[in-house]
Amino acid sequence: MRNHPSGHRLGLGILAAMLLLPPSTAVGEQDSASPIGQEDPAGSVGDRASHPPTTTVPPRLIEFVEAKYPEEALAAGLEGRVLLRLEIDAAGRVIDVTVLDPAGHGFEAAASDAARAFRFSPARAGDTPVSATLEYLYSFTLTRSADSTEVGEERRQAPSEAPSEAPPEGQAKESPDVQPSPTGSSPGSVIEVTDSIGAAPSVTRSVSMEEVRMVPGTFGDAVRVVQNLPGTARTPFGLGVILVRGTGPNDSGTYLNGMEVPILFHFGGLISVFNSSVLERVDYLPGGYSARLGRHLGGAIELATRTTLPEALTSYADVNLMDSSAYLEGLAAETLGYSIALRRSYLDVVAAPFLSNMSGIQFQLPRYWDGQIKLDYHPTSRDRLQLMLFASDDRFAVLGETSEGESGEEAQETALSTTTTALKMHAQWLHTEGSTFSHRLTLQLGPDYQGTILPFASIQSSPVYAALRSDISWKPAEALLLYAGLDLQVTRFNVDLEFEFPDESGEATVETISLNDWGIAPAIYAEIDYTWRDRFTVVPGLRLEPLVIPGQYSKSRADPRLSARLRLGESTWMKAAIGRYTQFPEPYQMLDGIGNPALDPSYSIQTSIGLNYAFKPELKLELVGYYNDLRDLVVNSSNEPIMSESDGGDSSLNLPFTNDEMGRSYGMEFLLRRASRDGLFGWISYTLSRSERLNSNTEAWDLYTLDQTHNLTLVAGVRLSDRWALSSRFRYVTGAPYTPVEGASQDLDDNTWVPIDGEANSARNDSFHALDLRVERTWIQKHWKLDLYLDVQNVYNRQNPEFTYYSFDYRETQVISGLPFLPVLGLKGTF
Amino acid sequence: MSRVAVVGALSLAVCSPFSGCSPSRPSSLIDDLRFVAAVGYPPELAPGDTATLRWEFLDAAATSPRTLEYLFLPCTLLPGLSDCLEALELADEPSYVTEEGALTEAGAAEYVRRYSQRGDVVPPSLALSFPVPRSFALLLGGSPPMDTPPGATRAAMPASSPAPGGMTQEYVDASASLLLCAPGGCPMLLAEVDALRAGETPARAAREVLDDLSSGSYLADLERADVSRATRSYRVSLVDQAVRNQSPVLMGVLLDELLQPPGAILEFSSGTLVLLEAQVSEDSVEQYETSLTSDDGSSATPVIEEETLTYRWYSTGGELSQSAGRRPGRGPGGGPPDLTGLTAEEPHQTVFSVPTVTQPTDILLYVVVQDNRLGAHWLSYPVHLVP
Repeated sequence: MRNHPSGHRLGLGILAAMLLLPPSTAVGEQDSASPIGQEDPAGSVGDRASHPPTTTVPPRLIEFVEAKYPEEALAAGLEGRVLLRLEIDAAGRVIDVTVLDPAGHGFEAAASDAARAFRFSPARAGDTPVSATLEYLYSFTLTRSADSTEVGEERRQAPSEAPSEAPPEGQAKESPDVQPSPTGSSPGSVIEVTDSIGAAPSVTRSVSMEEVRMVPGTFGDAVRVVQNLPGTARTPFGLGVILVRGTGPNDSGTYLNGMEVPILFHFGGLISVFNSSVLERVDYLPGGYSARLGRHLGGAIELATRTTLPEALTSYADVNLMDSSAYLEGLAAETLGYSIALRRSYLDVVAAPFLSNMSGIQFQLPRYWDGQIKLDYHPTSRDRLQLMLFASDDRFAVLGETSEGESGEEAQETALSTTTTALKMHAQWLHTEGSTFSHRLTLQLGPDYQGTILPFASIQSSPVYAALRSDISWKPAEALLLYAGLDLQVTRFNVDLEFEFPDESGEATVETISLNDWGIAPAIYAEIDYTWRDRFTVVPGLRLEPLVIPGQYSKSRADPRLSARLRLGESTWMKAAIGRYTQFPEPYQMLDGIGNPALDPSYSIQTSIGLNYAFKPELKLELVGYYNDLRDLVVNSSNEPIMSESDGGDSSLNLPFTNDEMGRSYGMEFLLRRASRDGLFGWISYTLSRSERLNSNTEAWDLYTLDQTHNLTLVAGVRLSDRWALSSRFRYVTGAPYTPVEGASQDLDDNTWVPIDGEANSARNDSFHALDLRVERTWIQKHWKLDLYLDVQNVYNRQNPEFTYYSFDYRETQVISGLPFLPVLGLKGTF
Repeated sequence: MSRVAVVGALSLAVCSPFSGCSPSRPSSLIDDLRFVAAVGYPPELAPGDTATLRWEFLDAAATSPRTLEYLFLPCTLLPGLSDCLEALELADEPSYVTEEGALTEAGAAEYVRRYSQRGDVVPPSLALSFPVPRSFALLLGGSPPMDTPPGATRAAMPASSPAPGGMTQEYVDASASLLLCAPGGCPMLLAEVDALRAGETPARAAREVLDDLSSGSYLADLERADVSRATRSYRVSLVDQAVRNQSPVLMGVLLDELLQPPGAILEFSSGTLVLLEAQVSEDSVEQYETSLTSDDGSSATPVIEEETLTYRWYSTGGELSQSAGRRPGRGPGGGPPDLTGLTAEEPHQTVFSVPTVTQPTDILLYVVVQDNRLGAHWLSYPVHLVP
């Protein structure tokens, strides 16, 4: 294994410097007060990651009272920050103040006195005012003007309103981290990346949009931030898939408001297909999640769209070397809001001059676009209607040699092309009755297309999905919550396979197989959330997972799930979960005519146990151990297809898929996170894991192809002032396993070399590591803000191995490196 | 196709131009111990014939002539089952084969004893003969049919009766493998063989030798640069044919519209591009009768087919474009696409990129032609390179 020690030292050095850097060097120019996100371990009610939020709004500060700067501190030239917990009654009055994090020198007394005089607009559950609890950071900052030595002027700023919704009364609401932007809240200014075990006891890692934007390499994409959290594996070449806890790329589900979406990332994983501004939440559920979600045996990522109405006309445009995007939101009427987001890449155009006429092969680099149009209508205070159209398109092609056609025109052979397109109509209706009942009805409809064309084969899939969800939550008692729902999916499969093979005379024969069937999967679930004395919460649940393809396939499975959380102390709690997760085979694996209709669904038994500890409100530790038992995995059991004969004498080609594979993955996840405060944030994410598959021939456990023993991510960012921000990310990942080729046998019939494999996945690529940096300069005016950013990936140009190529006779190898040093300059204007 | 597979394929396609990542040694270049061709005599066999395979190879890795060692495996050996027991007439001896048709340890020992050799193999060719039994085992697609009882043979069936699966079986393609090793390059194998001959090693060792050879794990322990293994199919016709397949015949190479007969010395200037054309005899492309089986397998319609020829070119220097015969092996290991841009227009043509030399140099050039019924022929030419 070859490493670059100098690269390591450089990366770690920069990170260490950033973590040790003072949070601000421009005293007096930062926000002095803000509500602070908190994870409430009690988690007594509801899991916003797993169930629809009720329509409540948090209290909003409407009357700020300036604290008297403590004389002792002023005389000593000291600054301080006091973390308070405010109890706010249904009238918006502060009825109790608790100092959570004192600063001494009289700061806490001054802050408490001032906070008691605050006035808030009351929190509301539906249209009913309710009491609420809020954490509040009161900062005392000395201001020194550039041309003056005057000391002692305080500068305070009222907090921005969190655009996300508050939980119902009594719910363990964690106020999301809010990092007010210089011009106030921008669209999607808060994204909550949520990790949940079980249904109710959520553990939320709130990541502000400011943080999202500052993580290098994510380009403001909240979904990509998930890839920097524990449990997710790094994907080669930025592959646009999510690999969770040792499962495969198709084993984890991606959802929008509970509806499966066909694609989450554009090709190459450069960016997600949803603009973060239309999102309210990104729920990352690596395991042990609620019965509300299913159809996958791995983890889940669920995106939740914003259902709140925009407060004002807001827009932005973002231009960089890869793509451009624009966003607009506003109110068409008092109860009708709209949002429009568009993005189009042009990497294909920018790089075209460098790739043209290259050895007779023409490349068309990935080109993608996506768009979302969203309308939000609030006819009453208890009802929210949302209609969204979203579309995405990814294309990539490699064109081969130009040949002259029969009519004399020149035609270029397509060596390889792939297209992924999705067009969806997504609608939801959310109805609440106070804080005790809510119902969300969601509908999604639209076609997809995925096509891959190779010189010798093509596969084109154009399914049409119709999905309906009905999710109900009811709170019959203070400690009891009931959830139930229907998750219906109807799919029309349209798969066309075409492949060429030489016949006996050596001529190419084209074989075409078309699959046109439809299936229905009417899953139902129920869950009980019971909390005992605010210390112990247990959530049993059951999900029934059927799949019927009329005349061909009909199987059903019941997935019981159980999660629990126990508070061990004021800042410590344990969590645990166990559950069964069913995943049906892909259509081409089980449909008669090509697959094996006798296939059973695969499933996993997921178990996990974890510990959370808060050193400070902004500094928290999470530790999770997990074990996933993977059963009945679908595997192609032979290289030889099976010709079968029906009763009518027709022959068909069946690929011999079986349920003969089993696997296991286990590991430990560690997250130490400093939430954004005073412009400084960061986290250390580390996953120690092992994923294996049982070799049916040798009865030995082989490493899974995507196994990664160590996965370390360090993220640190600091806003130096309201003009400059600096952030970095360092990643270290164990190299991917591969099966070495030990030799080759020459086939003289057609002059090919047949590789002789060594022990399965017995070798590994060199480890991956890279340092990414981002610098941002901001200009702020009254009505607009301009950000100029430089995002540099792989700063020290580490040649990270991704694939190994062999020469024609397998005697020579060449390692293919991943992303090289990549600086991206961009400009974003917000209006 | 999963997204992972798509990206794997894409990376295969874009690898070369982005980073020059493909190993650059051309497939036409012979710079080690390597097979060029194997020709069966006769090219189409029948049960009861004696088959001879002549293997043509180059030992470009050797600085001076040397003798080689070999192990010859005239049939595919599948783990636990020897498809060609009848071919080797081992099945007649009960101690060599189990009731299920698997090779016993004693049978494996006898197999190795008969077909492994040491020494006296000098390039460029090696001819090996073996009997094709009248009771040739029925093979389908290289694997034994599940419902064929041990000992059942095609020869015992009426020629027109359908084989399992409803298909009429006109022939089987069996295979032969040859492992060539430089002196001392196969120490493990030949030590076992020597011991077998001396009767000192239990027969189990032979079983392990064969299993290792079948699985390829034995090759992993060898010095690859001095070991080469090749397989070649031969066709055993199971129906009577009026005319059996004949191998195509190469007449020479056309260079500047002049036919260069076999044995002619070609001369090229350093660093130039040369168009070469293979010429075959007029009767090299044969017509033959085959049958088209109906979908339900109940009837067969005779059809006349015409052979297709493929050409391959090799040299010990420079690079020759290959018009046919290369295809991806599997996944990223399948080898890069040919990006030379030097594609001849016709299948029998090639563009020779003459290597750059600073002093007169001699190399060898090979052309191999093969029909789709496994008939083959080759020619070689000495080539003189002029600076």
